Amino acid sequence: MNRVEKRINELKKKKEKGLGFFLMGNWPDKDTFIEILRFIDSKNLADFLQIGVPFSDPVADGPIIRKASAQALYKGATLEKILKNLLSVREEISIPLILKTYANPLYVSGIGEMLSLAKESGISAIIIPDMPLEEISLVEEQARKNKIGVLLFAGPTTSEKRLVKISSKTSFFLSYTASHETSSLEFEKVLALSEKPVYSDFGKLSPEQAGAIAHSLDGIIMGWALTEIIDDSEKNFFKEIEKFAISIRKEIKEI
Amino acid sequence: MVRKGYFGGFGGQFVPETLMEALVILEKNFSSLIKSPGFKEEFQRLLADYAGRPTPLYYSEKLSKLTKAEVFLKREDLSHTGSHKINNALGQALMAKMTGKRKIIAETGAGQHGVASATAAALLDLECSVFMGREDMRRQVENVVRMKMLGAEVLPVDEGDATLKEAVNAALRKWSEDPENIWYLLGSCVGPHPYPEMVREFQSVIGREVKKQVPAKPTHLVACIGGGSNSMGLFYPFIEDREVKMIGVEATGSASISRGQPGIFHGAKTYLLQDKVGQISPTYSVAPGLDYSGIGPVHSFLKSTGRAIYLNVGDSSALKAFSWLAKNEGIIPALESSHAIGWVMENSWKSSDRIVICLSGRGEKDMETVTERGQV
Repeated sequence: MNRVEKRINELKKKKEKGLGFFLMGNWPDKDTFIEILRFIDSKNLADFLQIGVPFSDPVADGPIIRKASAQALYKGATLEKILKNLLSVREEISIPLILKTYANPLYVSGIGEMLSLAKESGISAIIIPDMPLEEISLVEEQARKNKIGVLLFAGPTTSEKRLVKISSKTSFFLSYTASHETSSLEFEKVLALSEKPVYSDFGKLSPEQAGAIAHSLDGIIMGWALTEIIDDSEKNFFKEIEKFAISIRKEIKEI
Repeated sequence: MVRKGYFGGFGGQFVPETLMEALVILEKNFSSLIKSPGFKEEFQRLLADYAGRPTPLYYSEKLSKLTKAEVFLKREDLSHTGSHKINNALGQALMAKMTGKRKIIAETGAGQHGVASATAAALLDLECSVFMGREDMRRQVENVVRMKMLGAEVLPVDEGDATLKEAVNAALRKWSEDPENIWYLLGSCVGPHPYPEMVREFQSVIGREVKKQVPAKPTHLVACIGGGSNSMGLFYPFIEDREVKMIGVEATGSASISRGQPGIFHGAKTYLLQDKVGQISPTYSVAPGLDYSGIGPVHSFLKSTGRAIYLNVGDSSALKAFSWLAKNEGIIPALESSHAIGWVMENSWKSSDRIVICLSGRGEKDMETVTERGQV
């Protein structure tokens, strides 16, 4: 079974809340990226990871990921190089991986070729911020062929009717882009409407906020929390990542 | 099957989910308002009495003598605020007003669309913020002052090259923060559906007027292309007249359709200037309004069917045409429009050719640039 699917199902069965983090691919550099990946995997600091592909014009990202994206591009990171880097450690890493890329790098590099390489590299699902429900058919066939799940977003601006459609179409779980203003009542409504588990996808949350959201939903994903920690490289970021992830884990476990 | 928002294989709605509901509502509002007598009447009134339409079609004796063909200039430079951008700005701002929005945001390159948006906002009592690349603010100081004078807020964008592409990114981000209350007044026929169709609809007045004004059927329509709104406005009403050739002139340093490859950017599948792995390339043109890596999806479609031809000329051709028109016709064209004029001047023509050039805007905004480039 697909690794992401398996993990989501296990968590659901055990009635545990899931935790995912975003890491920019091949950033801060190719080797450190792999070290961070190994570290998170070996210490079991998350249930899955989103691996980002840098893009020249990341319209859906805030300043922290934009900066990392520009740095990764400057150092020559590409979708293919990131996937090949992951391929080199595929056998050693067991944490489920989700590829997060804007549409154009995937489209121009060749959807079929890239998704087949992604499968080889241990990617179980893909999420494309600028490819909504209406356009997702562009990748579906190749994703199916390579047994890669296609995840979709919903958010506070998504209507109820649309949310139902998206939740039936998304593979494994629904990524809900919450904001600080999203209330637990709204989360519960989303959960009730959604056919699949719902994960909040938000840049960074404090352990308390994470705990509160995990209380209403199936789990949380943090977008730029680790990127910020790594960017602040004066400190030993491995230690900081561990400390942060454990503080979140603790809060969401205690529900 | 024809997919909604697609022109052949181009177009679509490649935007974050946050904006999808806003696009659905926008589409609904646009398609009902565009048919409503109340909107139509008010829009026509504003175009005529406020923006000064119809703009003249001017027979340029000197350009005709130079090229040995018949050359007409569609004088969009004479419309209120000095460019064709006012057509679309008034149309969208009026729709924003009629659908109860209080705030509009816009991106601008040369500042012409920013000025047009700020103008429409002032007229219709809407709040207006304009995103503009820092580099463009430096190049188009006069337009920045004009926008502020009109009561708009001008927000500098520092990312990347700090030109039009980054201004669009910033506007899209701002829009996704509050799509319910903000109307994104996109200035060109680019972006996700329904923008390409909506901007085309509002700019088509250019070509419709030309059809009535020109003494006999033109053989060639020529317009400059950045995102492609003035050219689309001129071309579209002639689409079915197969014998009328349509030529889009890009700037060599930002020739997305004549030198780029298909990709997905700013909401649509279209031709882009990009590298082999799908990163969008920086562009350069002396004309900030052409300095953009993408192009409207309808143009990509017209290229694919061969209905329109796309080519490019460099800064020097544009600067030459700029000076020539000023000194010989007493008309100072925008540097953007100068690309179309420059191409016509450099090409060889037959005496039976009847050419209509869209003079999309006036060049007062470019005084600093042409002085720097030694044209004065």
